[in-house]
Amino acid sequence: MARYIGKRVLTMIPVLIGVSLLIFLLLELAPGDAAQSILGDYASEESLNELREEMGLNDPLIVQYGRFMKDLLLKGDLGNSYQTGRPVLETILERYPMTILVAILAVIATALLGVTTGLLSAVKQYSWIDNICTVIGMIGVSSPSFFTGLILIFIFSGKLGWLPASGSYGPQYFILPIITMAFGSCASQMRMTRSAMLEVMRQDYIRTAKAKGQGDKKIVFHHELRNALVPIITVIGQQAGVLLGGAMIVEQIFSIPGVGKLMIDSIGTRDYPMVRGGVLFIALSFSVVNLLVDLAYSTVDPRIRSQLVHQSKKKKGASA
Amino acid sequence: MNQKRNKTLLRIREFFRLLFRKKITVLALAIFLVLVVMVLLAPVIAPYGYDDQDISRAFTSPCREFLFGTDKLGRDIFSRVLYGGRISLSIGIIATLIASAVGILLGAVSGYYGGWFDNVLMRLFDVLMSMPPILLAIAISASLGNGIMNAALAVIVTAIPMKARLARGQVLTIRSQEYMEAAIATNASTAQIIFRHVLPNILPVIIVQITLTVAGSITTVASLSYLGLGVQAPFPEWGAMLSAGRSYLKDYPYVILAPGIALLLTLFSLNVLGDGIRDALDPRLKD
Amino acid sequence: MSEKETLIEVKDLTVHYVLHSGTSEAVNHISLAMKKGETLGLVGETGAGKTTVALSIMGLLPVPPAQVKSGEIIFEGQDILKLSEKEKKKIRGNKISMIFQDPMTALNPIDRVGDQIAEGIMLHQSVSRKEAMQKACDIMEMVGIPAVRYSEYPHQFSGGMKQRIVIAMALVCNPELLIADEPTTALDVTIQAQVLDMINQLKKKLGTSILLITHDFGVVAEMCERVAVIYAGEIVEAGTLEQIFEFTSHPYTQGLFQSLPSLEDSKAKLIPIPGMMPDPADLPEGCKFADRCPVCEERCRKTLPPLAEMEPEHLVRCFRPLKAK
Repeated sequence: MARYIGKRVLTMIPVLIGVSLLIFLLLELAPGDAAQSILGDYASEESLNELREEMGLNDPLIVQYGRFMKDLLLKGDLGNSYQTGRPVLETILERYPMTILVAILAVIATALLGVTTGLLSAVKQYSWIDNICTVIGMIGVSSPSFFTGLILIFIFSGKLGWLPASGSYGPQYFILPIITMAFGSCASQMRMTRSAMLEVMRQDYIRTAKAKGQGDKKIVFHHELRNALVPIITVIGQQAGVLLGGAMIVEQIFSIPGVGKLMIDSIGTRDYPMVRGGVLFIALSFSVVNLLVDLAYSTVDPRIRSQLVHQSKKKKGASA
Repeated sequence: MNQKRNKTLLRIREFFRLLFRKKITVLALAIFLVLVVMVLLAPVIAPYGYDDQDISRAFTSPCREFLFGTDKLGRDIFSRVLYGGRISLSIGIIATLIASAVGILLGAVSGYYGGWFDNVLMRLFDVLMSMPPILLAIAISASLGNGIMNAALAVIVTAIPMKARLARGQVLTIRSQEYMEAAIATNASTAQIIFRHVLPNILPVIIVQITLTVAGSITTVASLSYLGLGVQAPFPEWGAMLSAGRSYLKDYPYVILAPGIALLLTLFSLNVLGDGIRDALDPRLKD
Repeated sequence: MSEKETLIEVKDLTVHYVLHSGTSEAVNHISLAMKKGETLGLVGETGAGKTTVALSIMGLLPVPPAQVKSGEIIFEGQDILKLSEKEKKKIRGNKISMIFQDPMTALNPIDRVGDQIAEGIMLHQSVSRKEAMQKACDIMEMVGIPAVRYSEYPHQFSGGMKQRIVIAMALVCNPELLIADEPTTALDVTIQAQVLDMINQLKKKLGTSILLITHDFGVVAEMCERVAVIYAGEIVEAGTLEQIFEFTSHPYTQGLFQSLPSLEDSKAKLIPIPGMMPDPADLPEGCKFADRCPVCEERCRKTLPPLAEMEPEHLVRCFRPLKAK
């Protein structure tokens, strides 16, 4: 198992290096450069050039990238913000927990909502509940988060005054953002739960459980749902990645100070080190989420678990 | 040959029968067609231009003259939504077609030939897919700057890896099947093999993907515009209209309602249609 | 044998599957009776309605589409068909349990096999978890699986071992009646004999009655005291093992025997029964076997022959029975 995790972590490294190179090159294309961004639009050509020389901006790209990677890997340094002058890493680490909190809450809400409605749809297949769940789920997928968010703000904040529209000063501030995200993504969770459950419900071992005299509740939750979990977790994992991206927009809608809002604000102010740091952080989180999802399968399904153990054992034997 | 054509016709008829079996799919198709026609006829239907300003009539509530009211500059929201649809739909469709063409070609070639080309391409796509799509789109449009074309480019680049992976996987599956060996054995040329055997076989999956990608592309462009990275004023893109209207949400909710619902209807019809097509193409996936 | 008490009695059972495309008459007016401690073989081709009878007794018919049109199943003085779901659950797995055909798919892939056995004990007996686990270990040993394998998962067992686990699961509450639906069909021939032998031993040890569903007369000969042959949802012949084997009376039963390879006479030609069983959604009016019967005559197609008693216990549904004692 440890071998497998190790292997997966190793394959993440080249991908992340690729991401860093990609984002480095992309931001080179961006209008204006660091010197301009720092000194403002009215700086003289002379002072701009001086600063460029000082910051090494006149060096070839590959040298600049090498310098960036050296700082990142040896010192864990992502550079300083053009705007505040503070280290990028420090600012991002400050904001990061908020993004992760929003994403995790959204994943939980999506999973709860999606799995419950999917379960209901499967158990009551072809009933009106099934149909209504499907249509509402479809509307959810089709409504972009910013529209859903604005409507929720209008109703619950503007008209009813129940919940705050923006900020992050307490649990109540997270309710609308989380609903917004869950509404948008629960449909695929629901669909997967429904079809996985219908598939499992047909299996012989469910009939075996019934033949033992097992009750309906236990059959649904213990026998059926647990067997349906592998495909369900796959979708939860895919959702987690998407929700991580979605968090960026939702942070913007509800003015939640996370990495997403930080990045989008930094794009506005051309604070490129900050943008670069943000992208790298979110890409890293995305890869870690995908790894965790793979590991989660193996805890649910003993067949996959023994397959992994088997594989690493075989590898060991081959290399010995 | 004739017999083959008849068979194809039969299959197409069967496809439409299955597609229209569900009422909601018919509804979705109707919605989509109505939207397309209205948007195409925007210059005829729209009572005003999309940038006809008149501050004196700013924030007029929906009435007979201004069906969906007017915005802060007194522009007719109904007309703007119609023109906005042209931008959203055309970017959505054109970006999807370009991304699909490029993606499928790259994926098919890379899957067919394998080797270093395949390796390099797949590693590149690994990198592109190692971040949430919206993040990639944001990063690209941030570096290219604002504007319709740049937003479209961001959408295209984001969509290519998915298409290429899909096409590659399908090609690999089909390659390993026996009728491919038969085709190769009869000395068919590579182009013949790709166009006669590979493409027709991956078409169904691709059609479903394209429908859903149009919806995804429209969402991405609208999101970028909402964040201030895509389409800029005075162009009436739906996401940009929502973004501009959010400050007046409390007092003039109709400012966001019309573009939001237009966006919702478009995406809903495309998503339902995509689902319906998938079910009709593969009866095994019915539930 | 006849002085033994009756354990279960199926009377005039009719079950139909109502589908959009038509009604499938799977089981028509079947009556069966079993005495305590005996093994009854229910023999017939695939689709004859054997499994539907079993599922009716278990109360596990898929409703919809299944509908019980008539009949009762008397067990311990009560009609099982009229019991509430809660009361049925108390019987299922406790007093009546069932082994299914395919052991490969009958076990939950993500539960430890021991827990799957213990599940039944915990459901029907008021014992602690620990006691249930101990009992599960005991019965695992009894079916020939070392108790140390309690914590393993189904994919770690071979087909024959899985079937042993399935049997352990069915017997763990010491049921009065065990329904075995083709228990060895999915297994290798060598394993088949082992498993049958084990079922026989357990039956003697625990005194369980067995309703054995099979299409294999070899299995019947080895296991059963009485036999009922079922064709297109009806019983066509029933009697003791001897009556059925030595005094075969129904042309269908004879056809089944003739299509079996014989060990005594290896030169004897196999004679397959011509044609196919009628579609249960479109059954003929008279004798269901008429179309394939070598001795069919005019009246067979018009009227359904009654299930007549040839001699005590030997029942045959035919106007022209082949032979009698």
